[in-house]
Amino acid sequence: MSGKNEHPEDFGTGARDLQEHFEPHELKNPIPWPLIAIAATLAIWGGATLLFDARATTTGRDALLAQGRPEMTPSLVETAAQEGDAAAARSAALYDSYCATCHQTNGAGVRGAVPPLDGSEYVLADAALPVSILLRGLSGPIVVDGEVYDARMPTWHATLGDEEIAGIVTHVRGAWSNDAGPVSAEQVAATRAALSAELDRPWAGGAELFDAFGEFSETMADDQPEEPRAQ
Amino acid sequence: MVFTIGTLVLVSFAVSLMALVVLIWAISRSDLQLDQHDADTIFEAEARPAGFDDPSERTEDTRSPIGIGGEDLHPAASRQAVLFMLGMATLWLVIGSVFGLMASFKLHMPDWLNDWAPLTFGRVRTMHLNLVAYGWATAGGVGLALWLIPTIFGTHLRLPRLALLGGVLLNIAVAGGVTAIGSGWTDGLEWLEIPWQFDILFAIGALCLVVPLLATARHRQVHHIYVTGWYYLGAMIWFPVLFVVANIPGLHVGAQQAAVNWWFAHNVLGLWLTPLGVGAAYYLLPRIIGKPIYSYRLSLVGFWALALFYSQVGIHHLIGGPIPTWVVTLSVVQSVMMFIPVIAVAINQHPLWMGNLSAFRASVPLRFVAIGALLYTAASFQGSLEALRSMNSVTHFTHYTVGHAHLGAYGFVSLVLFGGFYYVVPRLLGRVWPMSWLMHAHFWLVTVGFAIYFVSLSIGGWLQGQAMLDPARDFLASMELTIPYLTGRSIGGTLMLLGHFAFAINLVAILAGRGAERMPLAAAPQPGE
Repeated sequence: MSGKNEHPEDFGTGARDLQEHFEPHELKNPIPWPLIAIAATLAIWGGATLLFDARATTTGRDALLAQGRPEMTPSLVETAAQEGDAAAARSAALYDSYCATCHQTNGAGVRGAVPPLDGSEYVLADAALPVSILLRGLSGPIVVDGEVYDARMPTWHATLGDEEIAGIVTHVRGAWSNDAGPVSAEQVAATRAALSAELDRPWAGGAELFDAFGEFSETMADDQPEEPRAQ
Repeated sequence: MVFTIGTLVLVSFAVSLMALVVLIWAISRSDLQLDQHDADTIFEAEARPAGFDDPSERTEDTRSPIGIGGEDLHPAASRQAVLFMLGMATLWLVIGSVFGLMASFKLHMPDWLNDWAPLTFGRVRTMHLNLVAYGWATAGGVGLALWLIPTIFGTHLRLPRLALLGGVLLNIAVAGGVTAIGSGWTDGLEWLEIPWQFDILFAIGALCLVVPLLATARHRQVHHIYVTGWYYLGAMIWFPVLFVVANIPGLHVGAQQAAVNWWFAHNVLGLWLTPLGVGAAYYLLPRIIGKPIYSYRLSLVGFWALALFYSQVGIHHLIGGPIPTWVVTLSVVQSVMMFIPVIAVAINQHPLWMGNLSAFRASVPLRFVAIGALLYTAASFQGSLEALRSMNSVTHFTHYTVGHAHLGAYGFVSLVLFGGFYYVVPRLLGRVWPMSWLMHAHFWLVTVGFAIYFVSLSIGGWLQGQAMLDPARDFLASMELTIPYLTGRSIGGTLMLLGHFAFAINLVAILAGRGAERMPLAAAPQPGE
């Protein structure tokens, strides 16, 4: 390089030495091995993350396969409509509009955020339990299928009528791998009346449900996290 | 397995990984005839010796570029197109940052200027974003490209009249689009607010600018396309595709519309503003210092890793949104893969200016570009971390994200553009900047102002995120605690705006014919003396 490097200001020998010594002369600077190592690490991490997170969405599909149903079924609404069951079709449509955003159309929920409905002990317990969760919503830690979830589920008693809640719960209890019995609008009305004083206060997590409904599943009593009752 | 768009995206990730492995392998085996000589292309394309080169204050460095065969690389028509773009960009910068500062004040003085709909927060903020993204950064970045592409390719700009026409259309589209937004007429999607009727004009304008640049590249007189050229040519292809696809009205609906929205919004940064900025830095750093970059082969890894991994990262804005979890996960993974190109660029650029600190201190344009390059590394690292679910759950929907956006778009892109303007305009006009004290004032105002801005929003945003996650605290508490930090942001923003005024005044003065002229050619010191 030519010697036109004299600058108007001089910042001492340190800066001068740096300026004179740093100039890449190597013709074939190799790609530094740490960069290759970082790239390899990230690639492995990326593959593992993808594989691991995919778990959240296969639950429902695996359940369908286990039942011997084809992997791609028509939507639940379509199936119910084809079978000529207008009430079931309406319930499936209600599930799609009010529930599927969080719990997903395959009922698998979202890993770490939204509990699954497919195979959930709460859904399959006495019908009053799922009905009362819908009526009051939920806010607090709850263990479903061995995983702890801690999020807020909305309160639906003001938005949905007895007919609609009965339809949704019936649908959820019979969908995917679930096979619990239907719920009637009268049952919902009875639960609503029983809870009338506390409809606006969401259930404070799994522990309160357990207190209110007793031992509806053998595995659950020990699973519930220690939970500070917010009352 | 059912074949969906999602499958395509997954396959693209696998293919990208394989492509990267093949590229590194090929470089290691020297299959690509690429070595450090190619880094000197910039000193050969233009008949101008390597050496410290700062035309902003030294009249002897203000010569217009001359090609190897003695051809003037910037005849009048091309000079006119470049200056038009740079001038309009500066105008949009000043107007856009006035709106930005207004929006900032409104966050802690909510009743200020609330009587007239166009000056309410929703419109002022949106006008700010569109002015600085499409007016300032796009017009300024393309203006620099109109100067840099002919210069690195050693030939004059082809079709300069078409480029000027494109510039005029583009700027009319920005003016019309932003006026429409001010009057309440928008397309209603973030980054896509400009009504599609104006988008048509914008797309035509962009096309009229891209065609002359590609034609110039075709007629290049150099044996090798310097890395700046790769970034620029990539951006010239990517941006029109992104812009047109995302803006077609009625094509995307529902959750898919949200996905396309963020695919576009993030790619505008990563595949348009980033290559414009990184490309300019790859030229300006070695050109001003007068020494080549550290490892030319590494620059190839940096460019291709950006091209391979960037396009899917935008969906991490929809973490928690109603689209399949694994699509978001894929986007998170791609975001983190961006460490690879960013480290490659950092290794190439930072040792050069850090090892030549006397040049760094002597040249204001170099300081702007070097700090911009440094903040590119910072913004990209921060962005990769913000995409992780664990961090995103705190920072999403807070001012922290706004701080990050400005670290990229201002700290990186705008500072590099400032440096580029300070370097290019004197060489186009043959005059140094008339008021060099304003240039120094500009540097200190925007660096100090931006430091205050960024630190305030990052701390305030993080605390805000933690407050929103705390069920024991009321939502209002998460807003109240940000007030001192938002006030700090307004102070930083005021300094930045003052800096922009200093910049604009200097530009008007030099365009008006002020500033010391270069000595006549005969009296000028000959190269190499």
